[in-house]
Amino acid sequence: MKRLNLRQILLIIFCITVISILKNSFFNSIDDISNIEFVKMILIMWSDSQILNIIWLLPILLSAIIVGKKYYTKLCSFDVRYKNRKHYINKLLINIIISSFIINFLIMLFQLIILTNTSFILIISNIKVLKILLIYVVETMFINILVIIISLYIKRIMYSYIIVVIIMFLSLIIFINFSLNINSNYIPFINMYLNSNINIITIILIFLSLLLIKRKYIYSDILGGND
Amino acid sequence: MILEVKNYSKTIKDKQILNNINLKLTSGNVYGFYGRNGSGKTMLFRAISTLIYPTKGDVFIDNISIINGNYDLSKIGLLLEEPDFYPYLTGLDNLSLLYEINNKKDICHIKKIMKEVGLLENQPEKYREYSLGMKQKLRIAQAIMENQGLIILDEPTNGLDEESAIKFHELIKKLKKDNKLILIASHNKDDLRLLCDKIFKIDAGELMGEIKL
Repeated sequence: MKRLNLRQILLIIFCITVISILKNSFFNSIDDISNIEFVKMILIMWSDSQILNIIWLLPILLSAIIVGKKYYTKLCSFDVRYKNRKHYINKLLINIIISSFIINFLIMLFQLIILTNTSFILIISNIKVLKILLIYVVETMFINILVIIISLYIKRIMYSYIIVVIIMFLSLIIFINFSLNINSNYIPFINMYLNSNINIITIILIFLSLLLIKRKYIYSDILGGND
Repeated sequence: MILEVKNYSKTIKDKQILNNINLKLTSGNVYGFYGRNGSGKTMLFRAISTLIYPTKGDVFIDNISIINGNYDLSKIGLLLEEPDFYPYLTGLDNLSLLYEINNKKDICHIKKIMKEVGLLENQPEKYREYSLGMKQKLRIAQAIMENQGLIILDEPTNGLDEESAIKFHELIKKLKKDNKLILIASHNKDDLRLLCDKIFKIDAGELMGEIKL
């Protein structure tokens, strides 16, 4: 019985490879993971060129599509086999956090492996690199969850998820352009461009967003036409 | 098992979909719901399975409110709308996946159920290659396979040929003997007349009372 779609996995790997190649073409020289600034540049970069910025944000778009679409679809339905909605939504929220973390982590990790030509073991054994990865993963998780929640609230629009992903991507570019000028370490997502610390506000917002998803799901009229 | 629907009303966009429904149904009986298209039969079943929430009223199973989400709904077998079957999996694989949601694994039992509804246990076709009747049989199988106490079937004989419909009737009689509480909505008078102990008429979201067909 096939639960994992091999074609999808290959497509994701292909996308990460293409993104890495695109990023690679903008570097004058390639360094290894001992150069933390280079590692950071591979994952997080903002420049005057919007094309460059879009390329660097593509992994976020990819993770939003992979994580969000799966769970948005699940959140739009219910089966009595899931015992009851409260039971199911709690299980689902845990799955969203775990999946979002793993997928974002792997997307970042693959980029590092390709662009620094370093082994998986060497990367995950480097604490400084791991910290940068963790910061990026947490901020991207917030974007993933934000996309899901906005899609749920505008469910009346057909294909709302795809619309939200596109709008969010464009909004993110505009938001970063403006917010970087404010230079605040507390603005979610912007924080990682400015320093190398985990933003506690982002973590709080992630949990608040999950609570909003739960509330929306528990009280929604699935198949009732009143959403 | 006792299922009670108390003063259940549902309004969607100022339209009264269900209007003050009151029901008390007990195990070991088959209850039929008869009405024209759009009369509210499916909405009532959606209400009982908590897919929709009431504007007013409540639903109780054995005196436990199912609206507040504490009742274990996996005790309900439900055939409503089109269940999520994977088109590229066989019927057996699809049922196994659904069976595994509550950590149950028993291929022999699933094969037995498939046989009972008139499907070949080793049906080689994928779900997308199934005929309309075969799809309906698989939907019935998913609704009864977990030995649930309450079985809700919305238009169960849709797409079934005469022979399969007879087999379905025998299945319902067997489930009734096993003390299940069975709810069937249909616009097919013969199905309801032959199977049900009591038949209720629904019109414009209102329960018009018991009828004889």
